[in-house]
Order: sequence, then structure tokens, then C-alpha cells
Amino acid sequence: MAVGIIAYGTYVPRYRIRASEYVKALGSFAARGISEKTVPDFDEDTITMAREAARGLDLSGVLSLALATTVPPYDQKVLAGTLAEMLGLGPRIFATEHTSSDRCGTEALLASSRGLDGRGLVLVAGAPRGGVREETEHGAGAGAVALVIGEEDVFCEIEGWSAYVEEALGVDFRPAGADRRHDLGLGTYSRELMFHCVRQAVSDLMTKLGTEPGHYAFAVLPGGDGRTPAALGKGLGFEAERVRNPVATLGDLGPATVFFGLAEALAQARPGDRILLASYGAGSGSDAISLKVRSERGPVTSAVEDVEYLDFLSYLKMRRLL
Amino acid sequence: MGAHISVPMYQRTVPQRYRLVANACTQCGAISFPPKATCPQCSVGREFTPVELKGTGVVYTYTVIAGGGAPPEFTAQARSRGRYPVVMVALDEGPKVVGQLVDCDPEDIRIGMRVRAVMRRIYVEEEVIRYGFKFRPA
Amino acid sequence: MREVALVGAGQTKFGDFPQKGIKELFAEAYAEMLSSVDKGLDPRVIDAAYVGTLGSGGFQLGQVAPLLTGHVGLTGIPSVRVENACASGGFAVFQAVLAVASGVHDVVLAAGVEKMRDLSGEKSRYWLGVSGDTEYERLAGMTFAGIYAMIAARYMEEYSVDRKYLSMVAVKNHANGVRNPKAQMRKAVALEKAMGAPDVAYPLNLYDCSPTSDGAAAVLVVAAERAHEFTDRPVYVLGFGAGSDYLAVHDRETITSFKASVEAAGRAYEMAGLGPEDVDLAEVHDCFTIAELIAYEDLGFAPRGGAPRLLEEGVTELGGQKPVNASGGLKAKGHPLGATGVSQVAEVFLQLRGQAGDRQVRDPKVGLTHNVGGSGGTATVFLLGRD
Repeated sequence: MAVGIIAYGTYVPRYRIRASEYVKALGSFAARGISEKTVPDFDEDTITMAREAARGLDLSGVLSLALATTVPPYDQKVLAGTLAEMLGLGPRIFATEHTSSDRCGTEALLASSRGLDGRGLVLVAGAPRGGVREETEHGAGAGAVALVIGEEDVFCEIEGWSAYVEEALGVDFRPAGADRRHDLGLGTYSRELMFHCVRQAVSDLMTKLGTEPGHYAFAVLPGGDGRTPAALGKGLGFEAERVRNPVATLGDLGPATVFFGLAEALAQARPGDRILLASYGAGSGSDAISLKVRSERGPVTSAVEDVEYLDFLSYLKMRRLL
Repeated sequence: MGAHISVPMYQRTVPQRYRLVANACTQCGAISFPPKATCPQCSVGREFTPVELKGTGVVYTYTVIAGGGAPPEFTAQARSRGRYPVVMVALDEGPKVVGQLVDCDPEDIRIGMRVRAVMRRIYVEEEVIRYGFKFRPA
Repeated sequence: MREVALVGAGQTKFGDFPQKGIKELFAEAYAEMLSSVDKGLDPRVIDAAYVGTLGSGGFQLGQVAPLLTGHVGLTGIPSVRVENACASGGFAVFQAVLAVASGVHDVVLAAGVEKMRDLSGEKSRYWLGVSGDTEYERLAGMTFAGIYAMIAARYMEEYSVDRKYLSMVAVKNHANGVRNPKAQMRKAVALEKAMGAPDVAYPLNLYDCSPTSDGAAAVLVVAAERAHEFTDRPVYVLGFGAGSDYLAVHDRETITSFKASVEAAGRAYEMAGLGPEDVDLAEVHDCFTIAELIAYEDLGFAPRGGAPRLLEEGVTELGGQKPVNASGGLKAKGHPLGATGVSQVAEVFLQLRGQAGDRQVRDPKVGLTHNVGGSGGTATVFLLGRD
């Protein structure tokens, strides 16, 4: 039986900041296509957000836990133990922790789905960081997605997947011990490598499955900004209105970005719809996953009703950039 | 200067901090939280079964701590966020607990409003992150 | 159980004294106590000493009592530190009274001392946060002000009380402080200013909170049957009591009344065969203004929710029927934690002997002191009288 998604939930913090606040304070806002983004509270981190994304999910029968984040609160410590305790799972669970790039979310999903015993919980949490004067910081938001996967009671099945991994130097990396990503400013070089990587993964997948862009009701493509997913989609032959990119109002959520895109697609999908989900991790790697929706199922979210907008100074203090 | 709650001491209370695990008295059934050696209700029960509380309740009372009034563990938080609210919550199962209130403008707090527990970083001491429950409007 | 009397009392000024540490402050209070004994005192008759202090000067966690008694030339006698946070002083007196009442000792020194002003802001806030429930109250981000603020918010909600009544306590006690040469704060404050001060922990503002203070106080507790050796005007301990409650305020049944105080007062009244109506003046524990309102009720001066009325009617003003905190209270006199409980007894001692100068209450016969530890974990009440 194919492994698929049984239930899912999302979490975003209450706080937001608009691009216009950056413009007022710094004169410009470098993350194109993002009009506002999410801001984690001072006392939130990828672990607390991952936990909150799973709030309300039925975790009975969960025997494995996969955590994916590029911003773990410790460089070295078993974080699965913390989450298992918070969620009341385990201790007898198989736990994996995935990091290293924004591809870690799909990696966690695919790795969990292979040899799955019982149900699995996949938590993908992002809170990218950059220095306040760096462009990588401008679009950086925060949020987490939780997926319960298994073989029974699946509403969205993983039909197939394809992966592509190659060496790519100096593209959006974070040196050891650094708390900020390092951008060498090699725009064209980085773009070409990314497009190549994602195109390969996606086209390999479609060849393998015998599908075409027209078979997909939704395409969730990576980029972390407002333009790249659309450009990737166009290059791959997907119609513009089928591409799902949540960054416009959430910001760049690291590995969780494409999962928010997936959540958006799942909420709109009808039985029989296909969803293409592709990730990209700089350095580089891409996973392309083909999903088939069997029935409609909305998220079990901890939806935040009212949001609060911050001014730039409050934002800097809350994100510990001051 | 921290409160000198040692790491082993905090570790012992992880079930309470992470999942509000309370005691149900095997003698009289009363729920107590945080756990004590003797049941506060019947005064004789000393055996308990653990029960995980839902984390939902109402605000019994509250305060809003101004930055200068924060204990040292919360200096960084106070400097970042300014004043912060603390609530005493009458949990649905009976016990009352205290915790910070998040995701709420202090002006909007009302005694009697419903809240629910969420997981947050409480503080960091000895570079160990102490996670635990706080509350947000339900 | 024997009758117990007080024959001497002394205290330092309360305030900020960088030049004086706990030894100097203790010695000063002790010296004043000695000189207050009408017929003089040979210190060699002192049988035992109880010293109340929370912080022990910040440096002498172990055996601070013999450090201090040795400093003033008392050695050989049992010398013990007593600690119950802000009620340390009250409990030092309590232990001394028990020791004398039991018949084991005849002449006992009860003293209290605290040094708070030489700490950095952070250290100071550390010490202010260690006497509530550390695990939950403190780690919820509260120091005492926060805990009392919660109590105030609940009290105001339960009894529909306007916050101006909190400020009225501040106004009254500051006015009294002007008349007390030992007080830390000696400036009157107008109601509008007290109400408009910046928040420390909503709803408590700067003028709702007693200051941090350095200071010491000492009293001499003797067997009543021997009081005449020291003075012709002894003050008698008519009754005494102490109590406790769960340390964490959230563990308590109600938070708008202190069970510890109610217990302590009940026992004291019963022992003395007196009631609240018999009390002519009281020194109560106004660490925060709300605490004085609740004290009126816990001590039976007013029914539950009735404290604001007492203030409205001026009953507890210096010239009123039942002056409370003629000394200025903790609010204006100051609150060196370990010294306060002893200082309250010293104040009533002076008042009953007509030695309270500008703040003398007219012809009091029975005085009450009320000392609370932290947010109500412990409390002591003494009822004092005279011939």
C-alpha cells in the first residue's frame, strides 16, 4: 500500500512585519515578491513551532518521528527527545533529525516513508536568519508544518518521487558555528545551478511516472522568494496559476516554505487532483514528489485569528538582531 | 544570576513543564498540580496516578510586569519585548497555575477569559534551554 | 507558660548606608536597645539571641547569628538565625517569646538585620525573587511585586475596589513617615502623584511598593516576673501567634486573604482574650499597599472587602480611631527584610510608653504587630499591652 498523508497541521507565529517597515527604516526591502512576513516571538524557536504545528493531531500509532530544520536550537543535542516528550510520543520511537539545507523537509518526508512501521510524524520547521543589513534576512520568516503519514486512512498518497544531488559550491551556505547565511553575491551562478537541479529532479520524476505538467492541478516549487517558483514553473511547463508559493504573505520559511505551499494546495485540492512538490537545498539537492489526492481533508491547525504588526525596532528586538 | 534551579531539578519536572502531567489522588480522586507528596485535598493520600491536563482554563488573576521588575532570568526577554503579562490560570481540571501570557495585548486581558497552554522557551541557564508551558488566549 | 514582657527596644534609621554593613547596623540597634532599658542592662544577663535575616548580608550564609552576637560581645549563649523571608524578624521575636514563656530562658535578645542596598540591580532582583515559589512563580517571570500585583488584581475584581484605595495607603503612610526620624522616606505624597506613578507590575506602581532598605532592630524579651529589674514601665506580650500557608500563591484556596495571617491573629487574640475591637494601634505588613488592605481584613479590623471603607473614613489615619502604621509602615519607614518584624515591635513598645514623639498615638493600651513572610507563606502577630 502506498504511504501518504493522513493528517496535517501548520503553525505560524502571531507577529508580522510589512516590507514597508523595512523601506521606512533601511530605505529598501530586498526580498522581492514578499509584502509581509511572519516573525517568531522572542521565546519561540523551531522546536516550539514544530510542537505547535502538531497540536491537535491524533498521534496514536505514531512510531517514528522525523524533525527537519536548518535552525535547530542546539548544534548538537538529540532534539527528537525533546519533541517526543512534548508530544507524549515514545520513548520507543524511531527518530531522525534532518538538517543541512532547505531540502531537509522533503528529505524527512521521503526518508520516513521508506520502511515505515505504523504511522510517522514529520515536523518541518523554519526560521531562517541573516544579519540585519543582509538581503537574506529581509525575507526571513518563521513557521512549521506537521504531517502524520502512514499506509491506512491516507487522504493524499505519495505516488512517486525522484531525487537529484550534486556538488554546487558557494551557493547560499552557512559556515560552521555561524548564525547567519553567507551570500557570495553570485546571482546568476546560483540561479543557474538551482534551476538545473530542480528541473532535473522534476523531469526525472515525470519521466518515471509518465506524467506531464498538465496532469498536476498544483505545483509547489521552491525558491524562498516571490519570483523563483513562478520562473521555475514556467520553465518546466506548468501554468502560472497552478504554481503555489506562500512566501508573499509569510516570508521565506526555509524548509517549511514548500510545506506551507503543500498545505495551501491540499486545502484547495479535490479528489483525483495531483500535486507536484519539489524542494531545493543549496549546495545542492532537489527532491521532487508526486502526490495524488484521494479525498478532501483540511488541516488541523492552531490557527491564529488576529495578527499583530510590528514596527522595525520592535522587530529587531524580538528577533535578537539588536 | 539565575534561580539556581539545577539541570537535574528542571529535568525532573519536564513532564509537568512539557505536558502538564498532574497527580490524581488514589484515595480521593482530587487532581493536584504541581505534584506534592501529600494530596492537598484529603491531606492523607500519598499515592497518585499521573494524568495529563488539557492545558485549558480561565484567567483567575494577572499582572503585567514592567521591564525593570523582571527577575534576572527574564532580563533579556524584558529588554526585547518590554513589559510582559503573567497570568494565574484556573485550569479546567481544578488546579491553578501561573505562567506568562503570550500572543495577547496586555490591554486585552480580562479575568475570566479562556486561555490554553502553548510550548515556549522559558529561559536559558547554563546554556541549557528550559522549555515549558505558557498560555495564550484560547 | 509564663508571662512575657519587653523592656528595651532600639533600631537604626532605615535607608541606604554604604558605610555600614550588617555588623555595624546590628551593633547600632543593639546599642540603642541597651540604652533604652530604663534601669540599665548588664549584657551578661542575656541568655540567648535570635537573629532574623534573609540575606545575611549576602556573604555569611552560615552562622551569621554568632558572627553578629560575637561582634557585640555576646558569646557562649545560644545564638540562632531565624529565617522566614520578610517575617524573619517577627519569627525571631516569636522564638524569643517562646523561649521565655517556656521557662527555659529569662532574658532573650530578639533582633533583625538586613543589608539590601549594596547589591547591584540584578543581584537585588535575584534576592527579591527567592522567597516566592521559585520553580513556578519566579520562572513565570515574577518577583514579589508581580505576585502581590496578581493578588491586588484579584482583590479589586472580587470586591469591585478602585485602585485609588491602594494609593490612599501610600499617602497615609508617607505622611506618617514624615513624623518618624528613623524612616527612610520622609516626604509626603499627594494622591494624584501616587496614583499616577509608573507601573512596576500592573496594577501596582512605584508608590505601591515598599523600598529596599538597610537597617536593624533589636528588642529585649524577659520573663514578666523579672521585668521590674529593668524598668518600671514594661510592655507585656498579651498574646502571640504564627501561621503558614502554601508557599505558592496558586496553591492556596483564596488569594485575597492570607491564611497565615488569619491563623496568627486568631491564636494571638485567643491567647490574649482580646478581639480586633480592643486594638488601639497596629503596625501591619504593608510591603505593598494591597497588603495593608488585606491586613485590615485578616486582622478583623474590617469585614471581607471592607478595607477601603476604613480608609475612606480615616479610621486608620494617625488621628483616627485605630491608627495603622503610625511609624510610616514598610512603605515609608522602609523594609530591611529581617529587621522589619522586630522594628514593628519596637515601634509599639515606644507607642505604649508614650515615647513616639511626633507620631505618638493618644494613650494606647493595646498594640498589635503583624509581620508577613513574602507573599504570605508565614506570618506572626503580637498583641502588646501595658499596666
